Amino acid sequence: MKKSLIYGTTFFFGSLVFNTAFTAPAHADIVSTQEIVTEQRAGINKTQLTEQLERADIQEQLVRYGVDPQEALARIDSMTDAEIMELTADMEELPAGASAVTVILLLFIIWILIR
Amino acid sequence: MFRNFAVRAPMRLLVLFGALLLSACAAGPLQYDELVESNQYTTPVELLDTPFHPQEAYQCGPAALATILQVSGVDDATPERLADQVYLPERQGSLQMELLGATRRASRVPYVMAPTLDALMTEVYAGNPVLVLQNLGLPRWPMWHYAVVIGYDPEDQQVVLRSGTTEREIMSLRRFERTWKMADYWALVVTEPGVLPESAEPLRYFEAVAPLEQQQRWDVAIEAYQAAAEAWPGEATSFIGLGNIAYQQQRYGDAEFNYYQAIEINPEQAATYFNLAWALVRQAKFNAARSAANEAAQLAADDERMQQAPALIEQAIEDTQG
Repeated sequence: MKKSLIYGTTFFFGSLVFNTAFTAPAHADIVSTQEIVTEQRAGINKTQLTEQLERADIQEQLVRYGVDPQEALARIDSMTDAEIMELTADMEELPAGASAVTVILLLFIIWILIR
Repeated sequence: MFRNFAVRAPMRLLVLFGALLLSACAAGPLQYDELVESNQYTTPVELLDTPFHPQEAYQCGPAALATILQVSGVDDATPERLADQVYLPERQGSLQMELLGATRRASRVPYVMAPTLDALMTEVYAGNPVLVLQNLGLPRWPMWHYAVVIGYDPEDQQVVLRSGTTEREIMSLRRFERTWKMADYWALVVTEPGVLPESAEPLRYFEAVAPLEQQQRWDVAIEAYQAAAEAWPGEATSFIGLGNIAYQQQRYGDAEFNYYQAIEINPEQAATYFNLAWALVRQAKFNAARSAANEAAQLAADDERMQQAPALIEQAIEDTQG
């Protein structure tokens, strides 16, 4: 079995037990503020909620990117559905703020090449 | 141009970099001219008390976030601790949504500012350092970098940043805007609980607070909605938020009170009546619940959920009465 698949499966079932984000909201009856705000922004009537599987999927991705499994859970819990969807879409392409040192090195290389 | 290339190497680098940037972002107007001409900001400002965390390799995300979180009163927000929460080892960097998430975990409202230089200056002049995403490379060859804007000098048109290992990075307003623009003017402001960012706009702010409520970080969400209610008495959403929190904490009387406040501000919003109906059912005020549910259905003729309100409430009344 592929390692990532084992990870994914473990986290999915693990998260069902430990993660509050996977359990149904305690008060699904009222319209949430999140839905109201999203409606106001988009002028639409329904909020697209992230499927539970997408959350499990992004968790697995975070682990593949070197994040500790338990920490990956906590990160996902702190994000909104929209943010998670964005993250799932393309983790490779999203801006990851890094170091200015790289930039200086790169500029130096360009300079060497062009002068 | 060629004369410039005769000067010493670092200068050549700068000129070359400038030329690259010029060719890279010809599209779209920049805002700095307008800002300078507006003459709104005439005295220099620098937030000297802003902490400085020289970043370790690639860790500008944790360092920049620690800087603004500490200013907002999160004393234990060190770059080391935050690195666990926002750093992606395989990408050697931090993603924007991770910074937002970590801010929520620190019980603060992650306010993503309006994408304008004017909003940026409004915050800095109000004493709030602003975390910005910059692209120090090219649109097609990005070098993403987080830094914190702490000052501006109108005379020299220069921005002061805590950036990487540089405690006071001075960048021309023009160059700063180019690097910021290539990152879609993304900027994060974090204030103390119950204090609105100076440039806060209602919908943007509610978008920042609602996730905290969703994640049951009640205290910070309540303080934020209360501050919003005070600042924008004409916005019903603050009271809907307070009502929804009260409902989820099973304080149904408080929920009812806040929904009524919201209705007074905006009597046309079906969702408020819908939620009010539930708060009334929970207090066994059945007749009032029925009329609130009917009101919700009448106000939103094309909304399926609102149309179901009377039936749902009737069912809930039956269940309650057993």
